[in-house]
Amino acid sequence: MTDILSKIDAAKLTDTDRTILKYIQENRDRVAWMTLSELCSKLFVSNASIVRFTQKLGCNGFSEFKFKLRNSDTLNDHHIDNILPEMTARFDDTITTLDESIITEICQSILTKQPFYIYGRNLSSIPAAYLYDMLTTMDISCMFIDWIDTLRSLSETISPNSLVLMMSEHCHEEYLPIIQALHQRGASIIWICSSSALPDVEKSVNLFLDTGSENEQANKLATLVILQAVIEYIETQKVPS
Amino acid sequence: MVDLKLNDSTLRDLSNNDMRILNYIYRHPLDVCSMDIKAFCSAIPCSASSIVRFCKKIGFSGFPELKYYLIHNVADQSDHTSTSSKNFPELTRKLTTDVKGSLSLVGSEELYRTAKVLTNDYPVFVFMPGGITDNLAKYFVKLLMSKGRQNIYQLPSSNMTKHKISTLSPDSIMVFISSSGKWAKTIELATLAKLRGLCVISFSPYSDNELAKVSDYSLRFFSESRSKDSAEYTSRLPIFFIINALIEYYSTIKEGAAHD
Repeated sequence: MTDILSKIDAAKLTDTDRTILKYIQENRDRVAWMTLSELCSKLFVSNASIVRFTQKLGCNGFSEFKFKLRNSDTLNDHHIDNILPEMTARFDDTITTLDESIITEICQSILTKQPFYIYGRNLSSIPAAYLYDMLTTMDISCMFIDWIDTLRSLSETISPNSLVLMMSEHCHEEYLPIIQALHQRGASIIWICSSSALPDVEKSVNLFLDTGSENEQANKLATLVILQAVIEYIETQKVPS
Repeated sequence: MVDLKLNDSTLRDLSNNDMRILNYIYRHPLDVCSMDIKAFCSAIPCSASSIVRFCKKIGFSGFPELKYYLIHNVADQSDHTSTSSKNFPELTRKLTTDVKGSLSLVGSEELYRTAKVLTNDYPVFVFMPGGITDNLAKYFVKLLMSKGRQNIYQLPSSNMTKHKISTLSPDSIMVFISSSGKWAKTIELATLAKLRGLCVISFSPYSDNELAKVSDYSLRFFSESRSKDSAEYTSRLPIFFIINALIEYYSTIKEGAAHD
């Protein structure tokens, strides 16, 4: 990916901008995970100065600038001091992009459709089993599947008004005939995946959520944040029936 | 999430009473902004002098300065989170409080010490207490194995664990995870492991709990306890994050990254 800092037009920079740019160039690994207020206190400049600087780079604000900086090829983020700030920043990314309408839609499906199956295998079996345990305790009937063969068999006999909530790292082609069969039999499918949907998949899935990043652990945490939001939303019983 | 910028040594100096005050601030920062010290004392509950001592320990001159800091900090936070209804921001605020509060208080030093122990080749035994917490134990085992760590064993029942502890060599590592830190079986087993001279690593909440006290390495988190009849379903989200942080530390240490 292109380095965000290479977009800068030096002629448009003020003295303050140059101070900010110099600090970011020298500390890009840290800045990528800093909060706006932390950067302000390091540089003794105002929030507005930093926001204006990031806007000169074509970003809407500091959050978008950090996101682009993190995805820059020049970032060397595997330093022990970056672990907690990086996790915090990734959590911020997930929580700020949580869409209330999507969480509501998932909750409504869970509360209105039966039978309800939760599928996840490999590392995805952890968030799937976690959701199953929590919902079962909350008196919501559901079943947990961690084997693709079971899902395949199920797709041939599933009844209409069923719900299948799937979690996976990849949108493998082997899932395609399964979800098409589920869809044809009238089941609703919600898929939380760490990669983007194949074109044919989108036609059969009611809701596809892409938590995409290149880090599998970060993806699982993003999935867990979404699931916890669903659990909390159901818990508050504020979902319109 | 309010960030009080507390470092490891400050956290270690906090008493259980201080931790209760801190917990309240993290959970109700907006409420604290509008309280006087008397109302704050009743909400905890504790004495006014406890509040003042706590404020001084964390670097403020007293309650007014802490409140001033919170008012500005909370106001900054609210600027970044505007959504369409009241319930959803409250929900995301709760998740944020638990996760970011846990990540900001866990302390890099404790994570480093704990991860360093895991880099030894000593066998690691993870107690699976049953129920929702088993997902955390499995997550811990899967992640650690995915980083190439050998000799990790799951102990799926308390009787098996009790028997195993009595036969293990003292260089073994026992891992206990508890959402309350108060479950009698887990405390009994952790105490037994400690008496046998095993290294005990635990994950438990910031509230006062026995499990943390008997552990050599204690990683803590924030989460509000809740249950339905006798079945508890406390959110484990912050614990997943703490486990993930520990595994990242482990992985980075193994890769030879220097710790400043």
